[in-house]
Amino acid sequence: MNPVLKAENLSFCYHTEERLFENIQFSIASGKLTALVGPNGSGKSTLLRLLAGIIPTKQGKIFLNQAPISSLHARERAKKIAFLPQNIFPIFPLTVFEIIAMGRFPRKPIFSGLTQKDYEVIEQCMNIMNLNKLKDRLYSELSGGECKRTLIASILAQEPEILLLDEPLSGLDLPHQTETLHHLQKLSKEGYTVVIASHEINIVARFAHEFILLSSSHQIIAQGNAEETLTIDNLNNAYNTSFWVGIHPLTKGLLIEVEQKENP
Amino acid sequence: MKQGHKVKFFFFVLLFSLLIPLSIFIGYEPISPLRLWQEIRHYDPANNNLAIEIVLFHRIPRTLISILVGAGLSIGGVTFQALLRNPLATPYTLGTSSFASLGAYISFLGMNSFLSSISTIPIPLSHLFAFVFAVGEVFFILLLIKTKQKISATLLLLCGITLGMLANAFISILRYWASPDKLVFMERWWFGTTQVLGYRSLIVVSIISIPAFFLLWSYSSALDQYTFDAEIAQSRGINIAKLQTHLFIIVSILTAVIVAEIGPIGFVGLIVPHITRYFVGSSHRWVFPYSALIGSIFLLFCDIISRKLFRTEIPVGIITTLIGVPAFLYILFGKNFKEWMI
Repeated sequence: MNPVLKAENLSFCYHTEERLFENIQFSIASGKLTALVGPNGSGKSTLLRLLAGIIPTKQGKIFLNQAPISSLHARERAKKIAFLPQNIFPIFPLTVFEIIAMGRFPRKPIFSGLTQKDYEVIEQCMNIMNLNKLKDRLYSELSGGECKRTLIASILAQEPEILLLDEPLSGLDLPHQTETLHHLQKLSKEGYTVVIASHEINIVARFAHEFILLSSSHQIIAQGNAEETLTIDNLNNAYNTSFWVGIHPLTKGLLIEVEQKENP
Repeated sequence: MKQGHKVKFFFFVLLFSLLIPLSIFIGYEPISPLRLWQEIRHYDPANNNLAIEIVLFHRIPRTLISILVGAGLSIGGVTFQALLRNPLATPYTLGTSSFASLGAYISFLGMNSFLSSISTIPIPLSHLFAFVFAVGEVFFILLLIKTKQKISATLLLLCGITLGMLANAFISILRYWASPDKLVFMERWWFGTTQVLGYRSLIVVSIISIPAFFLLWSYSSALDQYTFDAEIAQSRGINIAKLQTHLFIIVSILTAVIVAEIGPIGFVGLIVPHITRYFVGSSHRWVFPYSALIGSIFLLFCDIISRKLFRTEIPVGIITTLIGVPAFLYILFGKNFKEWMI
């Protein structure tokens, strides 16, 4: 495994609360689709924000290709790592093209308009995410799936090495979830390192290469491929609930369900 | 897009350049271009050159200051609306103008034999007071932002409105105490008036507002990112706390100077940014210059009306409100506004 992001002895807490993470370590493989999974409140989103450098670590370090993230200038970091939060509420009307063009921000001098190179990259990102026909549509008029594709194209326009996506599947129907994961998997095959946080454990299990399982007590229970990580013991431990894990009859992938009690 | 910008730019510049001669020749003492030309041709220092004097020391500075103030109020509004992610946020609604007024009011009252020395008001005092009060209020708001991890823009706006009421209450006390002779001048200023004499005000306002425009303009793409999503903006390398502090301070200085010179003028900062976005879209690269242009057009227009609407001139601040309220209601109930209501 070739780690591109590595966390060592990472500790973090928000202002008033007790410690969220205590001395956790993990690494994220280059060119793979990695999924952060775990129950609500286990700290998946916080972990992504720490990796994105949006919130500073309290103790320990996160390394990007052996260099600590905190030593990078924010603009330099943005050329390597792109982040997409779960929900976006732009207050002004923007077109698909404008949103993708905004991804060029870290690579542009403050006052310059779009250069030939910017147009080329934007065009490319629209091709990858299949958005050419929607170019001039307003974001507010797009469907949920189209919104997600636009936002992913926008962070791709940063030309980063690493994509961090918080709950990219939330609010999407099954075909669109599949489509989004297809896109993300394709991107990882093209060399991007993709990290997502998600609750959709079954569908993510079909597409992701690597998993990091967080528990409700903010511990990393396991990391590795689906078979190693998403075992009954690990899941029970992480969620404090009894799970069933089987093989899906059609996809031959994992099938994870919460054990049904007779009288709940 | 590019072609559209050229047409719009031409249209607004045309409107702007039509209003300038109107603003110079229309007024209580109507001056025709012919009369001015003849006075210039037969210029004799010994004669009474009324037209030249009015144009040179009254109309031209007044026109230029309307342009600068209209532009300054509009870009202040654009910045506050973006910073607070709220369509109602402007230095006026957020109480910054009220605090600047309170500061200016205190300095006006504190001066002895005030009326006799209007023409020689020491520049720094009223500006300094306005500035200290405006920045104080803005820092209080910034402090509120920092005490909580997440504070909603609506809550912040409500705080600003309430603080503005507090400042207005203090101003009421001062007005109640003020002697009638002082009150006359203060009332005129309180409504916002562009009736300036000579070039002192113009110089002061331009020293602040022109650099402020270019500074704010340089933050355009950062503001685009911030209004899109604060976390994405951060992940793209923008320091949000720094951005907020810088912009709040620039706008409060700009507001303080305008208020100290001209008085609090409402509604320009509120409606001009909305009108601008309707014409040129959301990119601040365009919104800043166009709202400066449209803001000057709007204030010039209101100023010309204020001279001729009634038999005597009335303060321009009253006209901006009279025109601003129906215009804002129209924007509120128009279909473009729903984009804001998230």
